[in-house]
Amino acid sequence: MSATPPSTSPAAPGESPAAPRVPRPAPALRRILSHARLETCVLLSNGEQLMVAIALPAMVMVGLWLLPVGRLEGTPAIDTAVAATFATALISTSFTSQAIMTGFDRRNGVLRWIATTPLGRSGYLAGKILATLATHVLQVVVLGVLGLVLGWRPEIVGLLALVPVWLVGTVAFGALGLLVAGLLRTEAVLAVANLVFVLLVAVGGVAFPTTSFPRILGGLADLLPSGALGELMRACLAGGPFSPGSAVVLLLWAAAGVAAVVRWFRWTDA
Amino acid sequence: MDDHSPALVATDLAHSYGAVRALDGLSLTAERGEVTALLGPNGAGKTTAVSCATGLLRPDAGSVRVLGTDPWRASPEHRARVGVMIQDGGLASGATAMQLLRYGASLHAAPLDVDEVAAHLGIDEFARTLVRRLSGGQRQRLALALAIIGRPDLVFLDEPTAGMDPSIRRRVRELIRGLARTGTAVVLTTHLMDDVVGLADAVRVISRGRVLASGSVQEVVREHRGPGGGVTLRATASGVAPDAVPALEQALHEAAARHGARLEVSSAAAADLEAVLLDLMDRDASGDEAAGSTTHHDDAPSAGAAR
Repeated sequence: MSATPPSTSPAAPGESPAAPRVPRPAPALRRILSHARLETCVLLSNGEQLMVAIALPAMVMVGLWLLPVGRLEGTPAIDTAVAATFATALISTSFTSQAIMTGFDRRNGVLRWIATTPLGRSGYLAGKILATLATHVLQVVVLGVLGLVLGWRPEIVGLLALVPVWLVGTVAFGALGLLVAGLLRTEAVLAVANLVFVLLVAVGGVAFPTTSFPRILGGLADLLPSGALGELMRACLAGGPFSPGSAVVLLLWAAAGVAAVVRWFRWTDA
Repeated sequence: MDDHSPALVATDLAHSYGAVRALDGLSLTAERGEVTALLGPNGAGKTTAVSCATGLLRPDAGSVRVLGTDPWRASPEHRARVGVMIQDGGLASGATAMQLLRYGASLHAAPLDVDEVAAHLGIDEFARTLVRRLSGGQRQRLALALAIIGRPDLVFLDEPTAGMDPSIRRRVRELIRGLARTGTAVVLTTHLMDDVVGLADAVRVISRGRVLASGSVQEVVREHRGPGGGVTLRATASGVAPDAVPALEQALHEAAARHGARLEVSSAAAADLEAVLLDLMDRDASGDEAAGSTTHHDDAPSAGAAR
């Protein structure tokens, strides 16, 4: 411990104290990137979050590859397994992890403190989106390699088509995650985020195509963001039929989610 | 806005949480280069007032100007000039202490030297510990470091020394005095009167959302002590030979009695104990084997007289 107090002069290092300067924020991009880096590091250093982001989707892939469920006729099992896995990974990071992390940030007063810093609320959200995308890249790499090992042979057109689907899906589920984090108590956020994740993956049209559900249940699942995402993923990666309806549903959930966050997200517990 | 105008000006602030009126026409100022302490019981409105001044809360009525700006509409440029240490920490629990401090510094163009701040506040001792595993005092230090890391013109500190050991508390006080010396306006909320007496240039006593008293510590005490209320005098007699203590005590009692004052004499005042504790810790830190042979501070009596 140093007994020498740090220089608290408003003059920058190397400047004369006689010529103080006004404290300035770092450039906006640097602030956002810095926040994205912190969020990514925190997420990736947390064992539970890593399990949700990587281990669970990997288990979904292996399970769907081994078991004769969730397949499309005439399509290799690994293709439908990878599509379902990528959708699971997207939901786990954009929705579950973000809901839990943001919920705890709100409870711990992090959101209040952030709002008083040069980063501000908009910078916090921008950094969070970048961190989510960075985690997605890691997920795609790790899970993609696992898929390749299991025999997945992707087509470049499908991968390119995946990009906009992934981005819209990230916005839709990220907004829903923030909404859960911003409206519920932290303990409830933990329960709801995990429960909803399991339900969406199991019966929300992610692991199994909605065409395999009873008619009414399938119709309902088609209207969920998870059902739309699952169908679009299978269209991109498993040769499934492209459904414009699914694209519209996912876009509507993204737009409604963002509007709801703007309207109802609470930055404090008060 | 010129550099001599107050850093904080709140005028007739009012704010309610439902039926509860937290601020009821609160007006106060905080000057540059001064430590201003906000005092009052829990629920007096201190935190609500600070929330309004930091742009976290929009008052129902009245106005607040911070460095000439409405904090509710503050830009990143304005927020870079204001440091905030909030009551419930505001620290991301999954990050390590140093990770968070470097992150806080990265939000500013010309922050303080991170390693220097960490060393001074002892944060380097738990640099790689996750925030969720830090003690209350360690979190306070980190929150304080984050509040000052951007060299703010105005800093809000909520209970900055709560939960800290005497050695760190002394350093924090030095740091706060240093901030004020270099022109920073420091707004302090605390329940520790030692902090107020030792640090504050000005105090604002708040109750039920209003300022009841305002001025220097001495002015507030002089103007607001009750009719007939006594003034407490404290004096320390050092270097008294042990065999001279009874005679000195007797003389002090007689002197107090002549003035109608009540006298309490103790041979180990809190200040002595704190001095001994700090001395022992310093010796221990420097590996001084002579730490075992403590000086007999408790032989030196101190006396307090009150009338």
